[in-house]
Amino acid sequence: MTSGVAGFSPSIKVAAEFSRTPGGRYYTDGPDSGEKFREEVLLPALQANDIISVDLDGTRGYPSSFLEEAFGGTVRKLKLTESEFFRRVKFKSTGEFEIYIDDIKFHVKRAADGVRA
Amino acid sequence: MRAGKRGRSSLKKLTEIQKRWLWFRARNQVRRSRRSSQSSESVSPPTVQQNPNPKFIVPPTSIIAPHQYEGRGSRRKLFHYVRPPSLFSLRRNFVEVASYFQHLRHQIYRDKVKHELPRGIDFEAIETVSPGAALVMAAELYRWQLFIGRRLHAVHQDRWNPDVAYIFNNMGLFDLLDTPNAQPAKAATGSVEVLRYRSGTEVVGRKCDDMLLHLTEISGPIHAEHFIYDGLIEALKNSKQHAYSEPGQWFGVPAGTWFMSGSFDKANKILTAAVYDLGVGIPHTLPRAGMWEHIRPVISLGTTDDGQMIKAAMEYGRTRTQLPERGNGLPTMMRILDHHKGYLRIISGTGEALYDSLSKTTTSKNHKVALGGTLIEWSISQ
Repeated sequence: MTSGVAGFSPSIKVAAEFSRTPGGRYYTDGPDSGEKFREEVLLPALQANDIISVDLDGTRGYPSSFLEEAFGGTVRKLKLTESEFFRRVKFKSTGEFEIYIDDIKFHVKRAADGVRA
Repeated sequence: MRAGKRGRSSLKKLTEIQKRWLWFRARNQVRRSRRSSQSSESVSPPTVQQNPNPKFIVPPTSIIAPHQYEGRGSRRKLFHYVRPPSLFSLRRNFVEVASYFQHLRHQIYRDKVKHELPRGIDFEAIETVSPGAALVMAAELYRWQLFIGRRLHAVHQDRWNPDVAYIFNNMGLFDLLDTPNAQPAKAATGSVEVLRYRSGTEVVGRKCDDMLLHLTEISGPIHAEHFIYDGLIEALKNSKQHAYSEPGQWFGVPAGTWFMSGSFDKANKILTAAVYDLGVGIPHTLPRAGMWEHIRPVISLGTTDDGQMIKAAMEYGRTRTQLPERGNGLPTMMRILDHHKGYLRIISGTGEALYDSLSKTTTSKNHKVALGGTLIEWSISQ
């Protein structure tokens, strides 16, 4: 994880620090799954820091199931509300990848509603 | 039998010819008894499936069977050939092509009949082949080869249509099967450039990345190509998680097996990508919503409603798992068509659903014959 300058939240560059080719949902699907990203990158970062930043640029793309398991799964695991999740996790992307932030918002909201239900 | 001088039988001594005859008779008896016990047991390789009894539906009599005949192979050995239709395209000739595959499976995997000839495919009958149909053919040949436990041979290659031979060669069919006598293909006269097959049993992003890289090399840069990547991963994930999920059913290949290909038509500037699996089919694994969907197949008057089920999954998202966080895979596959003219076609079971980017609508239809797997195909204009 890229360390930030004092006063800035630590940043995770998915392409550089995890994989340029995100894969399926679970470990059993294959390499570079959403579950692997959540368990080995995202959750340890959230345990060590109150606020982190995730840079989505540079990958081949983000399959829906990868995003749902990675970020929706984080909400389910830590039993976060939607607002709490977005307070702690900031997203960065440019150009056409901005649509993936909308996808993440969709998955996080559904996961949070499921947690509350 | 009289006892001899030393208490032994008085059978006269056997000649060498008689001994050899008795030996051959005993050997053949052992082989016949092995064959008859094997015909009631599994014949598939032990590494493939736990329940290795191949069971495929008998093709309906209403569907015309492909032409079958006996002919000599490359070593003058007698073969039983199954002739595919000359127009080998699922888009333009679905019923004949799907029927051909159904009859082929029934021929290959039914209980072996005594003195039955080995079977072959007569490729020289094919005059036009589409990349999607070629992908399905590769998968079926792969499974056939796995089933019989030895490599298939290509026959009458000098009589094949050069464009058809070029497509199968360039797609890497004979490398995939390690065909021992495959001849290099001459240059094609057609405008379709095809990529080599990729196959696997896991969701591997690098393989999708690799195929997209090669696709852009022949087609040029593809706008919003990350959505193609997303769709390919979702298709692979479908194969891995759902296609082979039916317990006790024989598939003939390791669970999760998928095949992927791509092509570019230089004349019409049309790019295609396709993923095929030999699984149970999307409609079979989807839950039915509401009373109407439960009674619709009953009142469908002899047809199925597989097409409607696939269409519903594409439009509304639906999943075998019925978990609230799942079911977004099929809608994700349509996203590239927000940026390009073209279509997404999904054929599974007897159903077919097609999303057209121009009309932004999804149409569905039900065929009389099932393809025998799931084909997901994107076609976009550059």
